[in-house]
This record gives sequence, structure tokens and C-alpha cells, in this order.
Amino acid sequence: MTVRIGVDTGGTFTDVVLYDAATGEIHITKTPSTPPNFDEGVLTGIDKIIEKTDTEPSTVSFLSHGTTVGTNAVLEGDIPDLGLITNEGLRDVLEIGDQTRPELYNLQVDKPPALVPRRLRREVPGRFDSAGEIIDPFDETQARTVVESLAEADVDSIVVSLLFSYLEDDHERRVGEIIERVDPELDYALSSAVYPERREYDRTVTTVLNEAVKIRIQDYLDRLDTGIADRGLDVPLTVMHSGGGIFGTTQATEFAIRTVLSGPAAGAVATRDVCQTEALENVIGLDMGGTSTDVSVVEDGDIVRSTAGEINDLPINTPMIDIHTVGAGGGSIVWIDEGGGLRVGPQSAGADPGPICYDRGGTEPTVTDANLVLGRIDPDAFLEGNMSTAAQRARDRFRTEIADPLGESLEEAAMSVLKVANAKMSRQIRKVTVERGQDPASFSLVAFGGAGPLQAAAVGRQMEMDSIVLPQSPGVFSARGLLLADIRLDESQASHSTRPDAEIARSQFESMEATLVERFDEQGFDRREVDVEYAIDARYEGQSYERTVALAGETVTEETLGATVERFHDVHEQLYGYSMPNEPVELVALRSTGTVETAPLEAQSVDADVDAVRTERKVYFEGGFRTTPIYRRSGLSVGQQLEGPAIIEEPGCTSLLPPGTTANVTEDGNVIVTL
Amino acid sequence: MVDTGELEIFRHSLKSIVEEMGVTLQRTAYSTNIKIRRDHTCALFDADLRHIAQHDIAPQHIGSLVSVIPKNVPDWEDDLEPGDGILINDPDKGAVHLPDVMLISPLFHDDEIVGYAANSAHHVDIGGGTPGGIPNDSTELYAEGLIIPGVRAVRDWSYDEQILSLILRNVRRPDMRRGDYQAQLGTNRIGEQRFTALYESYGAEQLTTYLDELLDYTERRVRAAIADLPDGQYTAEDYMDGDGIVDEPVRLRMAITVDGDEITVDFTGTAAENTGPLNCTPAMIFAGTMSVIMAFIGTDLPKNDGFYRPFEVITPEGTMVNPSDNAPVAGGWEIPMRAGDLVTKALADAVPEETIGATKGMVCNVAYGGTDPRNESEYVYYETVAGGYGGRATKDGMDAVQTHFQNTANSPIEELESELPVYVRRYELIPDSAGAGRQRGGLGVRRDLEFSDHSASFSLLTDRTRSAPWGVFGGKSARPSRFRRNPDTDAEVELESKSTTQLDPDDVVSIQTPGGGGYGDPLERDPDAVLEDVRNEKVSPEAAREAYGVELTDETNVDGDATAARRSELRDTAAADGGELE
Repeated sequence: MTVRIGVDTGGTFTDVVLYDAATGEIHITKTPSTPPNFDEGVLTGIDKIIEKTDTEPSTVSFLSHGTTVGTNAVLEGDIPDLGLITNEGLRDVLEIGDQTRPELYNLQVDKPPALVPRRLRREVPGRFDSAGEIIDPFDETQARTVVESLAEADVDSIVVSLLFSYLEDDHERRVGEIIERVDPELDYALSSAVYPERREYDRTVTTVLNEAVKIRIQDYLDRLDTGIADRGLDVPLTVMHSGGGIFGTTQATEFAIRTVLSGPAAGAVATRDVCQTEALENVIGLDMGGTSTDVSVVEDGDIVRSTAGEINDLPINTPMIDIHTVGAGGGSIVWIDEGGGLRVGPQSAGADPGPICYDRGGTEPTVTDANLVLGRIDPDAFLEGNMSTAAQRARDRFRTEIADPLGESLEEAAMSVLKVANAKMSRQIRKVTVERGQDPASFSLVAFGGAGPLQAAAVGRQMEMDSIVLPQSPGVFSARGLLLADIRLDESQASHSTRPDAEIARSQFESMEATLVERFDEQGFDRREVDVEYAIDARYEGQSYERTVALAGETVTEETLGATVERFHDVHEQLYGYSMPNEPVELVALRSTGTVETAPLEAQSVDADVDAVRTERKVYFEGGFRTTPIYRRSGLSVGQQLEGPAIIEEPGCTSLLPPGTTANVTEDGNVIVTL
Repeated sequence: MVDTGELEIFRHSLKSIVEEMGVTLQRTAYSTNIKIRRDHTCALFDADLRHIAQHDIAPQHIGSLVSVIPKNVPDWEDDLEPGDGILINDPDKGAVHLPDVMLISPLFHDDEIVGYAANSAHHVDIGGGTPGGIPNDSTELYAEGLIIPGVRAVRDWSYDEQILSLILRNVRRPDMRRGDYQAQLGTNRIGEQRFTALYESYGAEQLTTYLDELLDYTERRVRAAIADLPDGQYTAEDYMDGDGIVDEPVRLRMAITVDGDEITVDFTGTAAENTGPLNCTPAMIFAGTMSVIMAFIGTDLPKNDGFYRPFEVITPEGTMVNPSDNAPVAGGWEIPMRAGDLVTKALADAVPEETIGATKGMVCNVAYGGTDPRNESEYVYYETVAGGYGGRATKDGMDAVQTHFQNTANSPIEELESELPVYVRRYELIPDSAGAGRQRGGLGVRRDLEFSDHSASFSLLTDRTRSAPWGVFGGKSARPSRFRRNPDTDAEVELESKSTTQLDPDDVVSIQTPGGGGYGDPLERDPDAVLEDVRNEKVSPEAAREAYGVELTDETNVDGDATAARRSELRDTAAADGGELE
């Protein structure tokens, strides 16, 4: 029980972090990602870190992975051939969706893809009503004909989604039995098993997406499992899910849709960890990469979660960390619109060709180029190309494309660019705080990703925050989150009684708990190790949006359920400015979560064995250029204090301390900047 | 001069406020129209009654707030106090149809009004003779429901129970409506808190400077975009079905004049005011027209007072787009919806690559009500149904979407059937409903409702059973709308587009919306795209042959030779008919 490894696969690089509990040391390596066979990069990364640290494979006790395979399947619409079986007259529910256009003032916009073509969507007679009572009998013969026709069409799997199956799954199960009889090899998924909640489109699309991602991810995970066993690692692979916990590969396959935010979720977990080690209550994680920035929130020490999200205009109805993404990153392209306004993104130069200063053929000014113009990043930091000419070209392009049209000096224009980028991030942060009734000023900002620590101080000041946190190795921070994640499984069911009824709720919670215990058992955990929590989704009768409220107590009784309803009124008041305590409250869904904690990393001391100050250079701030010391991150010692203006450099990341800020290096090696 | 970066921050700050107001309204409302279908909007105005920010969600409401506030607030502002709220839905005062109720709240700082927060939301019921607020036979406004002329219904952020009780006594399901009015109040409260904070952080003087610059900046961008359109006068016209009382088509005519960086839209030549409820207020036609013009001049422009400055909309008095006081307007939204299609038709000559074929072009107001046999309680419901989008220069029109100013979501069947005694028997695309084209239009939608075990009142207040959505540049027309009682049975009966029917228990009503018109000559359509549509049962093999000239050897293959021959034959026939493929 000594060594933990986390592997975070991104679009460009695969980051690997190894923690040795015996020495308290953390080791890092990066290797190129290997699309489309991402497993090769993962295994190469594991080989590389094991070799680098001379680790005995059998001592690895924990192996956790953040993957983009699921994300890509959804984002790129890489959907296998699926069949869909629905009620009579309803095969188009999946394609009609919610009948809206994704954009209002755009005649050329398109709807999200239908996922299953119309010819592979079939109907069977048989129907239940909203009370779960039968109104049309199930037609076995017709069902068999339909299943046979889909089997002949050679689909990879069949999804079955019938009305009110969350209340009564009899017809769905009978279709499943017919599939097993017609073709025992053929995969299938029942909406009542995957996502037993109300609203037929959401349930259908969630089940279809889950099945699609499952088919894409299961071979990938199989190959990884085999590769890991081949290397003599005697440890089960776990996978980060969108909810910020990890689960085994069996569950990652079965509930594949839960891997779509695997990577960003790891960043949120790492953010919470910093929050705990630095004894902060409320922080916002700002993960700024090349094309976009992911924002997550930790409130009262807990990651803020939601029960649903959206990718590519498709609803993702599974519990997930509430991650908001905005199209502003280091590679975001800067441009002037027709009204003479300065704009940043959403187009990005990406990693290739990248910003002009990367010297890989990029010609359009980006946020990174603006930072270069201001002297905030080191032109020699980019290892390819001819730096001095590339830096000059970036300046020239910036002047002609941006500064001149704005009638501003080169530096003023670059400052304007950063302000616009920061405003976009601020708006996103306001969304996750203000819209939830929180004052952003009461949060600290944890900045990571390649570009986050450059912008964070300005964003934090705009939000009137007191401080920002620059964690250790911000460039591979998400991979660190993989080492820290608890094993966490969620179950949910539509409530069988809309009125709060302790008897019914208790029996539903008991059945969910039994399922949870079974799942943990599969992963080798005993019931006693599992911490189970309950929550309800409630709304005023007549509303359509519910809020998740934790059960006010450990067991379900009349009293605790009543107290939970009281809590709902409070939450409503806090969020929307009023509550209606005399109005009836409706229970929509019941949720339970099982957690097995992962031990924290033991703090390691930071020994500075190199000179902290590397050099100095002229850096532009509001008002002009100032001579600014450049520090090496590896040279900073615990307790050291820095005064802004200053810059801290380390491999893969540059941090900026503007004038008027003070930075302190904490015992855990994080840098806390007081704004 | 305001720094452009600072201005962008300011713009986002304003936008955050209206977005947060919108989320509050949607999440807390009770009417399906508001909570699920998102038929609402929120806006901010400054102390000079300039529109400064808009929640981009339901463009039909743009016109109402922009029209009502400058027109009426000067009459009230001297008497307003902090925490007041004004309710209004009166078309004669610039509002739209009666179910769209607005709440306007003054925002104070140090005893002085510094702005207004406002929202408009479509209530499921506003009283009157027909459940759902859409009578098809009204000949004056009084029959359409409760008229609220602008009353101070809120004091100190609470409803005056006397006034609220008067309103609620006049509408169906008052318990549910109370929740809607409460949600509208909570929404403005959130707007007040956020705007006041913004005001304090900027200060009065700086705020004005920024606002002036934001509106000017918006105007500059809009003018630049208009200047890119070729100058000229572009006209289009179409006919609406009858008005519900008089069964005769009525003309809607539009002339768009692009002159440098300004646009005039003139409705002269439009039919006179109708006897029945097919009339719309200038605010409605403004919203319907502008929301489509916006798509032609830039998708991401801020929506505020500066946007509207380069536009003039002429609505001659006494026509159906500017009727006399107390004229019936319940079905009025059908007119601005069609005006949206006319904008795309008129601008086809100006920007052929950007325009689209006609869309479903009808709002499809459907309302029903009765007594739920499951619990003997009264119910009322309103919804609209999607249809086809027009074909485009490089891609097909979308199947089954809302079009133009309308982007309201559907009601999930499981929500609907839980709430009401209906079964949705069909909810599907209609094969062959789209107009053929090099890029075809989108398919219309069929929604069949069974009213189980009770006698319901079923109302339609919609259009387009006669004028088929047209194609452009050689594209063909789509199938118009159809409404049927007990479809595909011996008892099948056609329903008028504006009608109220007392159904028998277990009757089924079928709503079938139009497809969209095609773009370009269907004989130029890629035969493989036709094959794909045939395989997906969106186009029948017969239509593939007749409209597209595509012959198939079997279910998965195009017969290339036969297709070439068939297409040549169709071209010859068309040439013999006068050279035009229409």
C-alpha cells in the first residue's frame, strides 16, 4: 500500500502523477496522447513513470484514470449503429427532442444529431398510463417481429424506451427477454434500468447516449485492464466519473455516460483538496487551457454538483460536478468586429498552429500573444522555432490587426484583450455564484491549467476576491485530483409518491441502498466502509424545476422528511428571493450516494535547492512597463514572501503577481496571493 | 470615450442580470408556457426609459416591453415608490395579446428612480370565454379575457391582495396562476438587487457614460451590418387563412427598403382590420419582423435601444397590423409569424445565399380544457407545435422545430399525461410534408391527442391551411397544415384553423403542421441524399420519383441510369410547361 498513480488524458498530452506514500514524494511526467487509440498513450505514460521512479509494479496500490474517450464520442457524434424501440406513434420523440432551435438569430443553425436514424427506430403496441396502469396490452408477436428486423439490420445494440417505464418496467423487460431469445449475443439497454426518471425524451436520449458511449469505451477499458495486468500491476483500474468520484471499469462501462466529464471532474477534486489543506471554505476552480476555461465551485468544503448538464446541445442527465465552460483560453483568437468592438474567441488557434509566438504557422493574434506583448511570458519558453523572430512577428501582427484599428498603443490594446478575456471568465464565475445566490467576493480562486495562473489575479480582483491560490504544478493539477478521488457511486429513482411520504421514501431508499452495497461489493468494499447519504429533489406542486436537498437526518422518518421539506423552503428563498411555506411541496426524485474515502496525500516539505530569482525583465502593467523579478517555482521555500510585481515560472506554466499583491508560500507548497 | 474592454465587461454585467432574472422566472413559474416552454422574457431599462438589456430567449416579447415602457411609464413615474410593481397587458397601451402579462418594477437609489426591471410572461389562462386565452370567435377585445390597463398591483414587494384576488377570480386555475404572478415578482426582485449593486459600483455619472456608449456602440454595429446589404426595395406578400369569423384569405404585404445604413419596413397594402381575432398590435409585428431581420444582420448583436435606432416600421392605422382600440387580437401572433417568412422571401433577392425557404410559418396555438375525470377538477392547457424549417443554400431545413420569433419547447408527454386526462397517441414527423429542393425543407409534425373519458373543449387559433410554405430558387412548396377530429376513421372530420370544438369522450384530435419550403431545383439534389430520406421514410419512393426524379433499384441503391433518364424527362416536361420549374 505505498504507491498511487493517476493518469489524465487530454487532447494533446497525457499527464501522469505518481505519489509514493513512503517518501511523500510526488513525481510527474507527460507523454503525447495517442488518438484515436488513447490507451497506448496511457500505458506508455505508466511505463514512463514507473521507469523514471524505479517503482516495483506490485507496490502500486491505486491506479486512477481520467479519460476523454466518452467525451469525444459525444462531442464528435461518434455514435455506433443502435436500434431504438418505443411505443406506437412515438418513434420520433428522440429526433424531435424539445422542438427548439439551439440559436435564435441564426438561420443556418442545426439541431443536435438524432443519434439513431429513423429507419432503426421501431414501435411496439402496449402502453401504461401515468399511474402505471395498463391501457393497451403488450403485443408479443409484434415485438418479436420488430426485434428480428433490428437484428437483421445488424445493429450493435438495441435501446428500449417506453412511456412511464420509470413507474412500470414490465413491457420494457419483456422486450429485453425477446431480444435475448432472438439473438443472445445482441446487447440491449432498458431505459428503466439506466435512467428511471420522468420525461420520455430525457430518459430516451440518456439511455441512447449511455449505450453509445458504452460501446465505444468498453473495448478501450478492456485493453487498458489487460495492459495493466501484463505489466504486473496488481491493482484494479478505476475511472474518474463526472460526479467527481471514481468507479471500477465494470461500472464505467455500464454507466458509460458518466465518464463524459471525467477530465474536468478531476480538476474539481484537486481544487477541493487544496481548499481543505489550506483551510479555505469557499473556492472557485479556474482551469484555463488552450481553447476554453472550466469553472467549478467548492462551497463549505464540498464540490457543488448538479443533476444534469448539456454537451453539444444534448442533455446529459446524470449527477455531475457543476462545471461551466467558457470559450476563452490561451489560444483564443482576438478580432475586431464590424462595430469596432474588440472580441476574444470563441475561435481558437488550438495547439496547432497555436498562437503566433509558438512559431508553428499561426497568423492570428491570440490571448497568449497578448501576454507575450506585455512581457508576461518568456519568449524563450517555447522550445520550437526561432523565438526572437516569432515574438517580433506576434508584435507586428498584433499592432496591425488589433492596436491600430482600436487607435491604441500596442500595450494598451494587449491589456484590453486580457480584460475582455477576463470579463468572459468573470461572467462565468458570476453564473456559478451569483445565480446561486452567492457573493463571488466570498470565494478564493484556485488557478490552474496552462494559462490560468496568468489571468487569475486580474479575474479575482474583478470579482473583489481577497485572494487566489496557485497550487503546485498547476499544469498537471487535474492528474493530481485523480490520486485524491473518493470512490463514489450514485443512485436515483423517480419518487413513487409525489407527496412526501416517509413510508414510501424509506422503502425506495432501502432498495437504492441495496443496489449501492452490491456495487461496492463488486469493487471489494464491505458495507461498513461505505458512507451512504440521502437527498430528495423537490419543488412546489405546479413548478417544473426541482432542487436537490440533502435529507435532514440519517434515516428517513416523518420528522426528518418534514425537516427536509422545511429546508427546501429555505433553499428556494435563498435562490429566488421568496418561498411559499403554505404551498404543497412535491417530491420528484430520490437520490442516494455511497462513498468510500481515499486517504489524503501526506504533506511533503518543499526544499528549495536552487536560487529563487532567475532573472528579471520588463513587464507591462496598467501605467507602463516595470522591471519585474522572475522567480523559479522550484526555488521557492515554505514561508517565503513575494511582493508583486513578480512572475513565477515553472515547466508548463507561468504565474503573474500584479503590483500591490503579496504572495506567501504555504507549508504544502501552494502559493497564496493576497490581492 | 469608454475603453472597449471596460465596455465589454459592462455589457456582460448587464447581460448577467437579465439572464439571472430569466432563470428565476423559469425555475419558479407554474404555467407550462413559462416553466417548460420558456415563453417569457426579462429586460432592464434605464431612468430615461431606454431599453438597455434583454434576456435572449423569446423574441416575441421584445416588442412588448420596448413598446409599453416608454409609452406608459411617464404617466406613472411621479407616483412610484420603492417596491412598487405595475401589471399590464392592455394592447391599447402598447401590449400584445392578453395572456402576455407584464410586471414592471421601478428601481430606486436614494429616493430616485435609476431604472426599471420588467418581465413579460405568457400565462396559460387570462379568463374570457375560451380556456387558454385563445378564442377564435371574438369580435372585440372584451371577449378575450381580463384587460389589465396598468395597475399598481405590488407595494413594498408584495402583491396587493385586493387586486390580486380580483385578477385570480377572473382566470381558470387561480391556484396555479398565483404561482406565476409570484414568480414574476421574485424575478424583478432579483433584477432590483443586481442592478442596484451595479449602479452602486459604477456610480450615477459613470453608469450613464457607459450606457450611452453601449447603445452607441450597438447602433454602430447594426448600421455597419445594414450597410453590407445591397440597397434597394424588396417586397413580398402572402395570404392568411380567414379571421375565424369571415372565411376569406387576407393579404399581408411587406416592403423592406435598405437605404445605406438604415432599413424601413412598410406594411402598406396589408388587409384592413379583421372582424375576428386575426389582428396584431404594432408591438407584435415589430417583434416578429425584427427577430428575423436580426438573423440577417448578425447573430450576436446586443439587443437594446441602440439596435432599433436605424429601423423604421410603418404600420398604417386601420390595417390588421395596427387595428383600432378594442379590436380582437387573440390570434394576432400568426401575423408576425408569417411576416418572418416574408422577410426571408423579400431578402431572397438581396442575399440569396443567406435566405431560406418558407418555414412552417404558423404559431399553432392549441388550447384545451374540461373536467379531469380522475379527480373531477377543472383543467386548462395551452401548447404550440413545431414544424418544418425552410431549406437553405447548403443544407436542408431542420425537421420539427419552432421557427422565427418562436422557440418555445414542447411539453414532455409524461408531464402532460400526469397533469391532464389526455394520451398523446402520435408525436411524429410527417413523411413527404417538406417542400422538395436541392436542399429540401424540414418535415412537419403530427401530434394526436386522445381526450380520454371526458368531453373536452378544444380550440385552434392558428393558420396556414391554405397558403403552402413556398420554396425559393426553384424549390417546391411544402404541405400546408391540417387539423382532423378522429383521424383515419370513418368519423374523420376536418377542423378549421380557427375553431373551437366540444369533443365527445375518447375523441382524438390530430394536429399536423406544415413542412418547410425547398431551396433550389430538386432535380439537382444529390440522389444519395434522396435515397437516405427514402430509407428513413421521410420521403416516399413515389415522391423520390415524382419530385426528385430519383429511381431506386432496391431499398439501398439508386438506379443511376434510370434516374438520369427520369430527371431529363421531368426537365423536358417543365420546359414544355413554360420553362419554369414551379
